Amino acid sequence: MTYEDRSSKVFVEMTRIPTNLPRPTDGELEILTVLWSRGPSTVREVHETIVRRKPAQYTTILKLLQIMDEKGLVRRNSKQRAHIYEPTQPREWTQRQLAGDLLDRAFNGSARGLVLGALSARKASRQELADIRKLLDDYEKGYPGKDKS
Amino acid sequence: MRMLELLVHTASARALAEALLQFLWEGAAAALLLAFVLLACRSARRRYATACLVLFALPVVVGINFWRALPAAQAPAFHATSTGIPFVANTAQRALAPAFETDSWTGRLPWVTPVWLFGVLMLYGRSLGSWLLAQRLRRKGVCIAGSEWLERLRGIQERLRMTRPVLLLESCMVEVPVVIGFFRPVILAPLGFLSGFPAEHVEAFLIHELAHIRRGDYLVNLAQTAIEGLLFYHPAVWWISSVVRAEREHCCDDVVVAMTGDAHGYAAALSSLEQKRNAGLDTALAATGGSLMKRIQRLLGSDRPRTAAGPVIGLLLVTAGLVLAWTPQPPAPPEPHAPAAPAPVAPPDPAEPPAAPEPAALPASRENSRAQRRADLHQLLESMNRQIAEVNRALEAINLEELADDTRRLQELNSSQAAPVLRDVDAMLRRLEELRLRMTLERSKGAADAALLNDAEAKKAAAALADSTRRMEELRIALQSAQPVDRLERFVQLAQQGAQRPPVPLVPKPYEPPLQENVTYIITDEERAAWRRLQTDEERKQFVVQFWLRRDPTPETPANEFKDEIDRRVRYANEHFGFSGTPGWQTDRGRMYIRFGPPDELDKHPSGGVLSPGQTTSPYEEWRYRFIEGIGNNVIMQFVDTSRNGEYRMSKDPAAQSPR
Repeated sequence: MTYEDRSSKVFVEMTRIPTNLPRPTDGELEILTVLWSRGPSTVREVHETIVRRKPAQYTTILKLLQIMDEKGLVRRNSKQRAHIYEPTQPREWTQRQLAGDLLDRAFNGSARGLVLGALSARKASRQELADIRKLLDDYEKGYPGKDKS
Repeated sequence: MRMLELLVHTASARALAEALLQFLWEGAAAALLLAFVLLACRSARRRYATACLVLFALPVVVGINFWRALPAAQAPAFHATSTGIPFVANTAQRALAPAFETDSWTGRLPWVTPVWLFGVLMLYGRSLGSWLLAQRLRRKGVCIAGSEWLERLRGIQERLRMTRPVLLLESCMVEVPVVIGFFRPVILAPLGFLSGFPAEHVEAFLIHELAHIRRGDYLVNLAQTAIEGLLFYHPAVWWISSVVRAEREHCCDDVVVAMTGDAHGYAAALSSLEQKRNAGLDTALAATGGSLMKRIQRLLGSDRPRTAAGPVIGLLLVTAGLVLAWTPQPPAPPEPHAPAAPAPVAPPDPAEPPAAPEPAALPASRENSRAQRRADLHQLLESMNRQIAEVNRALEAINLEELADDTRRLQELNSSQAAPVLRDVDAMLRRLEELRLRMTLERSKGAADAALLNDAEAKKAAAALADSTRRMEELRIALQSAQPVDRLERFVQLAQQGAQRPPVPLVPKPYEPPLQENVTYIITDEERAAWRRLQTDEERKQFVVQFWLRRDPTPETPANEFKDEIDRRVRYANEHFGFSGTPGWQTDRGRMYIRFGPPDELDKHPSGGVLSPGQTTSPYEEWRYRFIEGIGNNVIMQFVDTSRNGEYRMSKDPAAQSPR
């Protein structure tokens, strides 16, 4: 595990160098998402995960993974009998990559208003975050005081 | 140009302009009404219902305006032609209409309709694009969540009595958990959210999102967006809509708190997710007073002094709206057969004067809050009992299986691989500590509440609470005996007692900085203890320099032959002993090689030894050292590759038998 930690540090440093990777297609992005979610996986594992959501052929996934390997989006570890694939990029990478998409560029802001979430589309400012943290701290400190009275 | 003229001059266009302008003061009145209701009413559900009602009434009001204005608008346009022609049949004659136009009427409201129409089209286009994008988020870059989370989601759905199937997906496109869709709703969680946050936090968020789904908020939100687009020119509409949005979140927050019984924990979850989202990315430098702050204040019950602020802002807005409404020519509601140029004489008589706030709500509120507090107290009691059960379970798990399991695992692992186990243990202990803190917090909250409520039922509840508190104290004591350091030391002890394998050169103190691979196996125990005490990187750097200097056989020359040899061994180990995922220096063979150098004799059996014809053992190697200082003469080590993947593990370790 220590080794993996070390290697992922190296890995992050490597990805800081701007890479000229092609933008993944929707199908490729789905596979990348699976890999980001599960960690390095065999083709079978990727296929099993995808099939739980929608029908897909094992061979299609295999082919896609091979193409992605060539493109440099994933890397194959063939030391073990079953080939294990892992993404070459950290998952934060997509958000930067896909920002170039036209629909995204035009409507990203307003689409966030259409979906519902526990947090609003607008990010809190640094000041606000600090205030919130203070509020929570005060609350924790404050209650025992009330207890005594 | 003809199109534009049509938009300006037809009867319906004029009626529409009339209706839209009339809405200026009507909308302001509606906002005023809402502001009064909000002042009187504190329950999020009631506030939400009122705001929704007002919002959805707005387009109806405009529709009524339009129908009332239509005959009047038609009359002047067609006074020269036959008045009996119905409006809908007039399309062919619209082009003729301008010819009969008297300038005075259109001169006053010239471009209202086309400008409005343009705005609506723009906003609807934007909404459509957003909707398409949101639909795409459901499919693009998603992956179904792990089955344990789907299971958990189903559990929450059952507790919420929801039957509609809901899909939980992980997405690489969203930053915060969101709900999309009405008929087939999905919850999108950002990648790393499910596994990266404490389970209770994730669960709280899932409850929040499920509450949105149960309430059909997605559809309401779409309708709301449609109304905003339609009446975009009126600030009151945006204000009312924002009230609906805020109260909607409050309603869902209430569901979460009712279910988990832990408002503070939920507030902390909200703030920690917001913080995570902001980490590293450029933070918006917006003004303070955002919705999250208000929500957290509301959750913690400290928003009382602020209650006045909302309505005051509302009132200001409304006044602004009213001023706006009066600045253009006030459109007097036209008499059915008024002449074409109605003089703007009298201010419009408000058709619906703002109703007074319902006074009935005020006397009842005191009793309500009492009942509310009592309910809160009971909820607290329940949640505390739940937590006690949880802690009990956790303690049981620690004392028996966990400890045994961890110890067994530790015995099997090398020092390098023990780190994650210890990390797990630490995480678990941290969680317990967190629980303990939370329990203390809630106990004091319960006591405070019980003291405030002075009636029989509350006293009974308080007594029960005191009982729980006592039990909790006992648990706390039990917990304290399971402090991290003790436990880790116990691990080491157990690992060493039962060790068949070499006493694991545990580096288990969680905060020890990692040693370089060439140092870690040859460092002495004293040196390791010293290393742990170092505080700064500068000291550590100096330590390593000294470490090598002490071992240099020829200190007078710049070269350090000893270090060179060790570095060579590390290189050799990495080249020859690594297998999938583990570098050579971390393997058993690598460890021995770095420590003792190449063996004097080496017996390799890469295809296994032969027991009898046709029967072989796993591949193995035998290393023989003639002499090792501190261990003895003729030391034989055996490494076996039982899984046949290149991972040779030491099966016979002489160091285990002799003192080091």
